[in-house]
Amino acid sequence: MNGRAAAVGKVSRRDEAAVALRARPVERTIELSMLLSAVFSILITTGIVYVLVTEAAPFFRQVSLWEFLTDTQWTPLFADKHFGILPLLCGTLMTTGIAILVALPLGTAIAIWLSEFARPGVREVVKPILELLSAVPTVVFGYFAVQLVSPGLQMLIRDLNLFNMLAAGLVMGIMIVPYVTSLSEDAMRAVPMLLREGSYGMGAGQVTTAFRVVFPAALSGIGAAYTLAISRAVGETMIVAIAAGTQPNLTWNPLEGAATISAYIVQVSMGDLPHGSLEYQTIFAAGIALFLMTLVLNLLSVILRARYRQAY
Amino acid sequence: MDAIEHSILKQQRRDRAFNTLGIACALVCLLVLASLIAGLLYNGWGRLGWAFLSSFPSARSAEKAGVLSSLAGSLLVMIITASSAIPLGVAAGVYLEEYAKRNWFTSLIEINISNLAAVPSIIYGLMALGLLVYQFHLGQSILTGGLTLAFLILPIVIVATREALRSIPQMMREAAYALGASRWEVIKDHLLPYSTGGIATGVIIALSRAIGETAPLVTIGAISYIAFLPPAPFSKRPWLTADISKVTVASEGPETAMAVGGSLRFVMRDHETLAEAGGGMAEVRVGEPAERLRERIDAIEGLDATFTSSGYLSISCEYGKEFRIVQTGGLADALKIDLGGGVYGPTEWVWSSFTVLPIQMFNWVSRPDAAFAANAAAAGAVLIAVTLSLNAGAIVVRARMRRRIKW
Repeated sequence: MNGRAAAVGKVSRRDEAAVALRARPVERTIELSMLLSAVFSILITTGIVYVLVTEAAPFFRQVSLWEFLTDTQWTPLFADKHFGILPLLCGTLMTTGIAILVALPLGTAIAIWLSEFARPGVREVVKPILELLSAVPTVVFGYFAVQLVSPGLQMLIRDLNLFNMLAAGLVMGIMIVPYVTSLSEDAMRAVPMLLREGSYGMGAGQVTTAFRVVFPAALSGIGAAYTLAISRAVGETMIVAIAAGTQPNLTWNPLEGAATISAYIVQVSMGDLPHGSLEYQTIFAAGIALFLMTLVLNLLSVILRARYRQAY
Repeated sequence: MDAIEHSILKQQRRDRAFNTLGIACALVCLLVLASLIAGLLYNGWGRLGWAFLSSFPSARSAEKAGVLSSLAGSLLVMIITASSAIPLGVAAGVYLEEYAKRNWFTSLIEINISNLAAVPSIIYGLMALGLLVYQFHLGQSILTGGLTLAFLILPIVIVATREALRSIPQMMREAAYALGASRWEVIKDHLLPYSTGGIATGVIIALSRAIGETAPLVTIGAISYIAFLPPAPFSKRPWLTADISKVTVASEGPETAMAVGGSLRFVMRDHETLAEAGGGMAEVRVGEPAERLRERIDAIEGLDATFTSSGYLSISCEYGKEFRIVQTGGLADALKIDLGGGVYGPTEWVWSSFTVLPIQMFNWVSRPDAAFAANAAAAGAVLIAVTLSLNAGAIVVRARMRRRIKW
């Protein structure tokens, strides 16, 4: 054309202008419609924020923020109404905590093993298995927790309620393992071979290299994986609704059942609440709490991921 | 030398130990997956069968309860989800990857998408409840459910599209540009055909995720006891029958032309449950003026009631519907108003109430009755069969694609 070769990865401004000049109105319409599709995602976020804020605003006009954050009971559907989010928050944190205790060690160990130790043939078998694990619907995990895991635990621990946070947390942990593994492994594979070879050259074994060189180098990415997994656990609904029960319970005992924020929202949605009543608005207030928690975790994960991509 | 040998041996022992640990952890996951599937099959085996797949759920009998309505609901919701999410997601992915310049606006969109990908699914349900169900008046319908899930999987489709486009080497684009193609021509004729495999893989995985979603659909109000199928396009619309007993017609003026005792109920034939049609509950007491009856009938959606000059009640209905009066006038024992007939339109099913397979399973799992646990297991087996085979299909598509394309 004009004799200038485009640089790799970029079409030069001149070529871009030439193309644009030739772009027929049809082309520009197509580009516009694609732009709108991309912008649509912002509309979704706006929609989420809008609904949460407008539907919960009347709630917060009647219930003070202080009461919401500090009251130790959550009984909006009873005669004696309390609107403290602490029991639900506690349920969420407890189940998330148990899930993290299972998923992070397990997932990281598998990730390190896949990235540093396993032969390529083995990797091709194990990775699809983990993908299949992530394909299991959460209701099925919930069934597994309440029908198989909980009775099994009851054989080991006497006086264990059928609905308890331990069973829910354990199963939720297994559900999260594929998230931890795949993202951590991606982070570790992004570490250049040079670093590993330097370590091997110094006489270190695989374990030393993995833990002293690769893991610290991939730490941002692994941190991003961890925060994403935590965010997933916080937002999980069905496993906890089925296996941990829907009774708000402010307790640090994992052998008891408790409702999480998400389980409460589901439980109320299944009932018949008139649109616009205070009880109906409580699910949006709870939703805001949940949304803010996961928003913070997700932003943290984005920051961490950006840092690890920059490094290499 | 001894010290070095000793240290090397220690390293090797540690390496082997960790290797074993890694294998053990992977085996734990495999074991959980296997015992999950085994548990479902073992507990649900008795229920699985054609009868299970073709019966409606039953509130009383666990043996007779089946998943027909939830399977139909899942399929129909998926149709809406796929037809919304695929065009939107692919277009957005193509834009972000091929057209967008690296500025703050593009970064904003990208951060937004990665945030949306991690928002809990129940929040999508809350948004759909406030926005789609109530503000946009779409109701608790298949359309709402499908759109909710489409929003949910949109980030996945966008990311899959971008990854697929990124894997195409830059030289393909440059060759096309060099030959004088415009940007859209490059995309249409070169990039999209090559990336179809990757996009299809992502879409299949996204749909498999959507099929298993329960929380957002429960939140928008998808009830779990649905004992009918949404109206198929061009199928016959059933008759609505109204029975009013003891109609007396006097000959004085329209003000007292009719006195009706009893209540107007609309009963949907062919269905087990009473359904209210367009506000069709009306109660009129004996001795009330006929104007009251006229008002009540007029208030029913689709019906229009006026008095003729001779004192008869004239009832007509909306264009497109049929209407039949069986008995009227004089001293009649019953006044029958039939409303219905004709066929359903091609898109009426999107407005129908629905349930999906995971919600049905959730409903059965939540029952304390042990008999329904077997139903839950069977439903879970069906659900897992669907999601696992979709995911396996995606893995196969991806593997095939990798083998065929040689850059």
